[in-house]
Amino acid sequence: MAASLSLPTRQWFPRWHAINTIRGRSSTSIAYGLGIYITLAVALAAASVVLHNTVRYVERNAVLSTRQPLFLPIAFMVALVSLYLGMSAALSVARERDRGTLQVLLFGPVDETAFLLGNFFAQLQVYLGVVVVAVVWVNLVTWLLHLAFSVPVLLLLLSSIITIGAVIAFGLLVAVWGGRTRAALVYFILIALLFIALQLGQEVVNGIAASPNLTENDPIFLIRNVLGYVNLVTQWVSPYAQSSRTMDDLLNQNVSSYFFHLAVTFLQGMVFLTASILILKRKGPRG
Amino acid sequence: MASEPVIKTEGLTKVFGRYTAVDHVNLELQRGEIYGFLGPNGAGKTTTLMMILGSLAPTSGSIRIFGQDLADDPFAIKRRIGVVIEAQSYYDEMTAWEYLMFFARLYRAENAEKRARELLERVSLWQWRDVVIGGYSTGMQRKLAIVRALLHSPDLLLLDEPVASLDPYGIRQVRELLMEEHAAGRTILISSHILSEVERTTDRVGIIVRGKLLFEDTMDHLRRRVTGQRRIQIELVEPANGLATELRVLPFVSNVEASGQQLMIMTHDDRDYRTDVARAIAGQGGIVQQMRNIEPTLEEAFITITEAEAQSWAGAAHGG
Amino acid sequence: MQVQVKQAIRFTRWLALALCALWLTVSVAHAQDPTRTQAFVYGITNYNGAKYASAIVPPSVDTMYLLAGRENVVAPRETLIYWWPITNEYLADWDRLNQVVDGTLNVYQNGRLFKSFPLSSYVIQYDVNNPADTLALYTGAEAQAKYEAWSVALKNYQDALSKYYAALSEWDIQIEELRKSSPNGVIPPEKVPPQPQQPKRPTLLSTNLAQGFVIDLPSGTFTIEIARADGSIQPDSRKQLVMFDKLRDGIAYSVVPSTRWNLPEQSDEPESVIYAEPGTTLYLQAFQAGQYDDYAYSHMLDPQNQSAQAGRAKWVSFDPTTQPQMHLTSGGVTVQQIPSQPYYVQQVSGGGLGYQVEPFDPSKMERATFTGYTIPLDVSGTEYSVQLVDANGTPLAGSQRRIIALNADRVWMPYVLSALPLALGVGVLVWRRRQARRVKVDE
Repeated sequence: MAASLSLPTRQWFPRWHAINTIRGRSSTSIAYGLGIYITLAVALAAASVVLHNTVRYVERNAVLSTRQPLFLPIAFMVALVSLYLGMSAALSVARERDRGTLQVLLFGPVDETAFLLGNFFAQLQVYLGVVVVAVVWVNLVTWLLHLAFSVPVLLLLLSSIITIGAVIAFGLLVAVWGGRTRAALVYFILIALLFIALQLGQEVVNGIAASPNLTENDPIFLIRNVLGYVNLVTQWVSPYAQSSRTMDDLLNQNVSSYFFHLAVTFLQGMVFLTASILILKRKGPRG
Repeated sequence: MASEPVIKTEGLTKVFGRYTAVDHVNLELQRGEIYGFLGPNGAGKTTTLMMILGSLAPTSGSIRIFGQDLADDPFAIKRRIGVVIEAQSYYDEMTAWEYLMFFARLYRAENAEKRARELLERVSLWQWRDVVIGGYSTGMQRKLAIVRALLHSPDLLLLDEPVASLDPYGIRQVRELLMEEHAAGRTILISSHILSEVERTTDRVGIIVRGKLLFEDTMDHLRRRVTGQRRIQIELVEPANGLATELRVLPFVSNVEASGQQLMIMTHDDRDYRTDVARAIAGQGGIVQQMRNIEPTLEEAFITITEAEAQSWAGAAHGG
Repeated sequence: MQVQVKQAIRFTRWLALALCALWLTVSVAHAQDPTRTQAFVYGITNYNGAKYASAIVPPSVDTMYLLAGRENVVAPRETLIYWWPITNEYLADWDRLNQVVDGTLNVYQNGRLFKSFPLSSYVIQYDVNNPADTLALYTGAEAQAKYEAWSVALKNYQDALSKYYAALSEWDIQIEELRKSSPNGVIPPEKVPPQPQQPKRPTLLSTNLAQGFVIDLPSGTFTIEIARADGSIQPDSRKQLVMFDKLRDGIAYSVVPSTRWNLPEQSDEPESVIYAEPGTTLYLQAFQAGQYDDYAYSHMLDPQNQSAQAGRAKWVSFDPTTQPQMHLTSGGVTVQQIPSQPYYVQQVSGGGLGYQVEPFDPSKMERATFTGYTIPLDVSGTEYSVQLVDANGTPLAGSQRRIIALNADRVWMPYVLSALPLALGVGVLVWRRRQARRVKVDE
């Protein structure tokens, strides 16, 4: 186990070849399925709904001042696609384990590191395609509606690649830890939704707590403080928490904080990936 | 100087809790041979293969493949091995051709497309190459697995039940393919319950029972060791009236069975007594049309060895 | 007689009821009088970016927030504090007790003494006509002198005002007498005595002279406490002090569309874009603004604040700015230079119930409703950029905004675009089905 991670240089060339080969197969498999297209369509439709609300507001109130009208639609899109790709990563690994193809691969010039990294990069490759589509969609929408396209929007899409990477890595971790396909799927959905709920919940509670009509002992402050402490811990393991902070950094043009949160997200992904490799080595191809 | 064995295990042991699945197995697979690895269900064959392939860590002992420890250069070593396991699994959504090209790329097979075409044609799968594997029958999937294992021209083939689920035609196709690979210098280890096929193809046999490698030698030695005698089948020109009785008194004969023109003579030991028998028959006025030694089958040898071990184990278990 | 007795009884009953009600009211009122406790507090006079404001830091607050690089006053006081449930805060009853606590304010950073401040007298003054440029805090002898000068000026004004009123009365009497003595009550102009002139009210405003620690610290986190003359530490004086900087300067706009006067839209951030319907006329009122850390700023204004959250920034608007000109550009070319103008909002009566914004005409209108800049948007819809420019032609930092006429007619198009990936997926599926045969094969 340690030998595989100590990474002698001459091992990395054949390992990289295996990663590339598995990546090609997995990404093709995803591209041949209807799931990613449906997800992307739904995600863009959700983004369109958010945009529609913005336009409707201007129609009703004649004016709207906003920094980045595309941030929220893109955030919606990224959240939905991230759930799908994380799930897809979890399912693909769990299924290979269940049906035994993982064992066949490991009999060949493939090790656990190559297998997981191959699947990781496959999902990421698919997301790069999604980013291209998203950039095209954003460009067309801004042109059609006369919205303002800005560099932060592009940076948000680019930084979402790192967020998605962390979510995919998390999906892989859940798959190797959870074992069977159904268990992996359930665990991933529950934990991912919990992360999102904690993030959204804090936003909602903070909004309520900002009301001036509350007393000092109002329970909303207790809930806010509890959520705050919980998020203080989960922000280090939740890619969604870091993504929210990255978005705030872009809105506030806080460059150093932006790169810091991106680095934390990247580190999260690396930790998830490393943990999943170690667990798979320990558990073996049959779990 | 003898070349190093392709596979060499020393004291290979695997213990699961209190259960010893593989018990100090010393196995040697010589370069260029076909080795039959046999044993009853639960004997430890698959566990041994898993350890050799690095899928399972041994409790103790060593394994060397191509003279190296697997951990030294796993990628390079595994590239030289082709594997078919009993419980084969596939990517159901891929076509056979895509499946083979995937593994060809993984193993960096040379002239992959040409080789794949040749192999598919040999096993009559070429016309089904664009069908998704999920639509294949079990036998077709098995043949596809063998093609995959051969695609990158490996130096070593490890085949666990390679002809399971195949019809006789398919079995022949696979047998011919394996013999060609053997002729090309490949080393092959076959584990199978179809002993007739193992008997036809292997040079050496290893029999593992309850985790112990009880026997490892050539087919000839296996037969002799198991039976300790020979059988001579004789076909006469005319029915052997009273000839059997005369032959029974010969000092080297233990039993004679007669049926029409057929005689079956059992000897006490495994020396070749055909000359003596021919002389004795001629002395009784018989005319021999055909005479040949009948060797014990591998099935007979296998059952003998495994039953003996079972009795020995039962005796030990009951303190007797 | 019987009727009178009955009336008397009825009256007595009502009187009794009234007395009871009064007694109950007094009881409840007396029960609501909060308990006062003597406590040490810091009375803060903090600079909020444009002016000085007051707050108290009761014992329940551990950390104080002040703007760095600017003089603030931290006044140590013994007073009576009480919890006021209506506003959910501790208040100080300065009227009953307002005692200055003597001592030296020691400021520590990283465990070491950073600076010490003695108790000093101070006064804050500014000219009401130009508060932003004239706001000043004076300390020590200068504070004393300024306060005395202001007091003298105020007294002189009050004296002059008294004399004016007296002179005015006399003048009124003179006029009355002249009227009576004139034919037809019309006084010849040459006989009208000059009317007394009302003295000009001093425009300089001032606080009272007070005692406190006038501190000016750089940004950072400090610990403060008051050392008494005998060396002991004043109880409850140890606090954490966070000095924070303004993040950015800018200009905030209040944007009012001509069609919806009562719903102004705030545009605080320079990065924000103002979207409007094509053909709308927008009125922009500009304000000086600064960006601050939300948590620190909120706690500076109200040390007992509960609702502010950390990690966010907020823009704070101050006084309106009407001096600069607004440059309107389109396609990189300045198409118009718009001065600031006063406007009057006329309510449209009748069934329409709307508003009409007109240029302010002092001859017809009492006072201007607002002063701002007018941006008429083209009906065809396009993009503009606005920016304030001072008299020297220098753009004001943070004053730029993009104004875009949104094309709402095409709002259905993003939905159509969203369906394209699905169409692509179906195409891939069909192609795949042709490429890979899905049949059940048995040899």
